[in-house]
Amino acid sequence: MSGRERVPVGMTPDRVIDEGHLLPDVPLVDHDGVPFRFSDHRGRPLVLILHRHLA
Amino acid sequence: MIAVRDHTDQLDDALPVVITFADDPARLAAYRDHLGIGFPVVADVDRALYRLLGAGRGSLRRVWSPGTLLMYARLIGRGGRLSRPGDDTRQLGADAVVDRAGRLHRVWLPSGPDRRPHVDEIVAAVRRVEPG
Repeated sequence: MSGRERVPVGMTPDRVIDEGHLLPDVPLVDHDGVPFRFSDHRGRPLVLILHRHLA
Repeated sequence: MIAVRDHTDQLDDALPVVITFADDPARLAAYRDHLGIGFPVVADVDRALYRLLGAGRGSLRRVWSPGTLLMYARLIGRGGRLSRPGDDTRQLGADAVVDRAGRLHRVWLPSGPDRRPHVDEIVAAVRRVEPG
């Protein structure tokens, strides 16, 4: 079963990309304050863990 | 995230990346040091990636479900400590695997904090990515 089927109630995304689509770069900054771009890491898989908060 | 940290040896050459919407890089560095993780922790202040993947905000009932409370109780029982969150606690998380070409290979959108995928599912998805 795809995770996409478990979309939470009340979700209001501006845009959603699907599996198979190219993940575009978005404005991200790493722990050293340096911009982080997905495109800089092509050639190896990425495991993205989107946190809820830093509790 | 801790589970992924403890299974990096099973991820082959995949790079884990922790994404948060905290806006203070110093806070990210402290968090990274505290958890002893060697992979990037990045801030998505505008939550652009959250929106892109479809990770929305959950209802209070869903976010603070009995399953969530049980999950935190177990964490405390194992010696974990919870601090008062200063961020939006209703923002839901997500997990994803991106292939070598930068395409979204698999995404999980858990309906609550206690519904994150098991690390074995993530490892299996990484192993289905075509080798380079």
